[in-house]
Amino acid sequence: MSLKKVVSLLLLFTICSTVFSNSNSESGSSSDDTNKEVTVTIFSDQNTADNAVPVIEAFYEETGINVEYVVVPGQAAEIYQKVDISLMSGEKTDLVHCNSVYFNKVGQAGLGYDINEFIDVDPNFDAKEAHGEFLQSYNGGEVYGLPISSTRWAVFYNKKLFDEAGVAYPDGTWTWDEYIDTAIKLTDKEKGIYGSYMPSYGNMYHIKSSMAGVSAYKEDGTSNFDDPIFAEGIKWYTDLSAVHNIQQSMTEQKIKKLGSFHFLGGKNAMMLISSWYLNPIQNYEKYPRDWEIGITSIPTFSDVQQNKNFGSTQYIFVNKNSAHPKEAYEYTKFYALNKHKYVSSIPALPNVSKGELELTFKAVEDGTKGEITVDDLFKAYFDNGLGFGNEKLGGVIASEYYSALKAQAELYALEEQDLNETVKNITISANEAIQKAK
Amino acid sequence: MKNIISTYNNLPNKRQEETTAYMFILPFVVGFFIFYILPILYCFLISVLDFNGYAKVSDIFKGEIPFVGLENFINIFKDRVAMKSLQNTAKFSLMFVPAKTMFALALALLLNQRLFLRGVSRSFMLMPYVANVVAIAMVFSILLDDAGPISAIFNLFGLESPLWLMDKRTALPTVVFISVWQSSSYTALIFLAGLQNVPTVLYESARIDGASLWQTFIKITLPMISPTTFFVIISNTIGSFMNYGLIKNLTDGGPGYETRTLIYNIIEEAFSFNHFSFGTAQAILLFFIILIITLIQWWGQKKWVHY
Repeated sequence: MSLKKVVSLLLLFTICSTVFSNSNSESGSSSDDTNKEVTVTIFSDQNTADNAVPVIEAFYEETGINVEYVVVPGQAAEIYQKVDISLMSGEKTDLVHCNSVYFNKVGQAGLGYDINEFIDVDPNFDAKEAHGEFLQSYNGGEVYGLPISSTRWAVFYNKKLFDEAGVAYPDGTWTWDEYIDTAIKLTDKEKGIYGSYMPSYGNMYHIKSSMAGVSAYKEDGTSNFDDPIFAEGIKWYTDLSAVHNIQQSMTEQKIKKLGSFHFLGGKNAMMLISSWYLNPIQNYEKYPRDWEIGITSIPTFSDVQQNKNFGSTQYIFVNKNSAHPKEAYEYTKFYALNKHKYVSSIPALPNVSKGELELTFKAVEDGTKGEITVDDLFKAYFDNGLGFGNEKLGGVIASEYYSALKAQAELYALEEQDLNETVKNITISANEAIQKAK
Repeated sequence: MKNIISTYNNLPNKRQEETTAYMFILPFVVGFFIFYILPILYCFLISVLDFNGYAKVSDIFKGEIPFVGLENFINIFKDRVAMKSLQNTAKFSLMFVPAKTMFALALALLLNQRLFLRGVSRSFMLMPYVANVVAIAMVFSILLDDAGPISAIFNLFGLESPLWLMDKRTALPTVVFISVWQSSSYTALIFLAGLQNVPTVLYESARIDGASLWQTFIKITLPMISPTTFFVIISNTIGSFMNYGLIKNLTDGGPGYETRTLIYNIIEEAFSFNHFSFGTAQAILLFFIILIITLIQWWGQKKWVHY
């Protein structure tokens, strides 16, 4: 055999083995059979992965099962896009950390593993009793995951800006009109101070309907966005910047890429945000500040009969193609029952004892060096006479709804169209999406 | 020539040579087939199915996803947002292609002169092209902010600055401007190569005959670089449809749907709403639009390109 032939054959072999070698050894669970140690993998964002470290350690100590967080870069919507592709292509990553909208989407599509198989034979865990209405089932009672936390909204405020403006701290018994009046007193454009900050999340445009408990869908399944309360909500949020000048406009937020953590920069006196914010405010290293933070209850709408606070539930979803469903279930259960002991969050456990909540809130008090007390937290989230509702529009077409809402609300904010046309366009877009989904 | 070919055909190692040649191009061919041809064929397949929700990819081959024919394509013309995206894409291309071509040519003409620090200028000229699109978007967002330097200059002259990226009328032209700024340098390099291949004797003859600069440009430069111009126009036209990154980071398709182009809509439909078949149908429509435009240009070259 000539040298040329040998070289050609070697080259061909090397190239073919490189092209056709299995490069998929890292996705899905890794299982070392020789050590019989199982590693459960879970998709999540970086923040969640960082916060989960003590939970993982405690779980390993109890069960000997490893947990590995697979961090997916990007914002929530981008993360779910990537996870979608993974789930649909049959990847074996065991779990997905997700919000209620995404959980609902994948649940209805039947992409989950029915963990009733394990719940039914678990003598120490009754999922229905533990989680109550937070537990979701699909496709005839199948359970694809467990709720791990339930957020609630409150107003965080900058005590230093209140002191400088000579305004008394809010006591939580207030209406939105009083909130606006307070914010006006705190706003000082010359110093670049705004009295309010509500990031232009999609749900900010329908706070009023969330607090009134009005659904985005009619009984026949069509869009309910033509209900006047939705128009009022869009106008109300837009007026915060356009009329009252108490916060940066949606436009300014978009151009300057102001995100959730802008409030911690100290230029906005108050911020309405979900309870997940309890974690970053304890991180003085990443978000240093020379001012103290306070918390108070969400204001109410004086023309709404029974105001509700709102929030969303976070879930851990078990992948249908999970490599280790039993171990994945064990971690999901552990996380759902114990997360609040390690990560500052409100558990999705309706029967959680006040004592356990106090312990969770005590950790926040310690983490914020006493700026926010246990008492403050109870008053802000629970002891305020408010009911509880859903913060999201929900349903099968949630993504399309928010896409249309944001686009049309933007045009309204820029005075390119009036409120009636805005709401009409959103309703039409939503109904078209509902038709397509059928 | 015939002798050479017959001599080659009679070589004892001809077969061996051919086999070796095929083996060397095999990796590229295999990769091209797997990563280009197969996905394109897959796109054509799912565009005629109803793969508009969650389903496993394997369900396609089990026949569990229904065949719907051209329904996805017909739905494009019924969808207001898709039609708006198509309209925006056309507007973008009509502004982008001439602007980029002319700007790049102007830049190339400038750099073809004997300038002080010509070498350094040529290097700096490439910087927008190699810069990250996210960084460019952030910088221009700050520059075009209503409290930014551009607005300050307008205010200095007593004029009211438009909202640029957040105004319905100016958003798309502003994105076009930024896109032209970002990508012209590479095109200018191509023009520069073309300009440097124009024989100087033609310019000398024109000078002797008393031709003006403009006449020289129109009668000599343009015709001589017409093959380069033809290539640039085709590649710019194709490139004008690939604008997702800049739009996503600058305006996110807004305000409203004003800067939402077809490629943006395709990605949103496919990956945000999981309407894979609908998104793919739009992608195939885009493919045919580009193909038709390219064929028209190819047919038109006989009239104005001089080789």
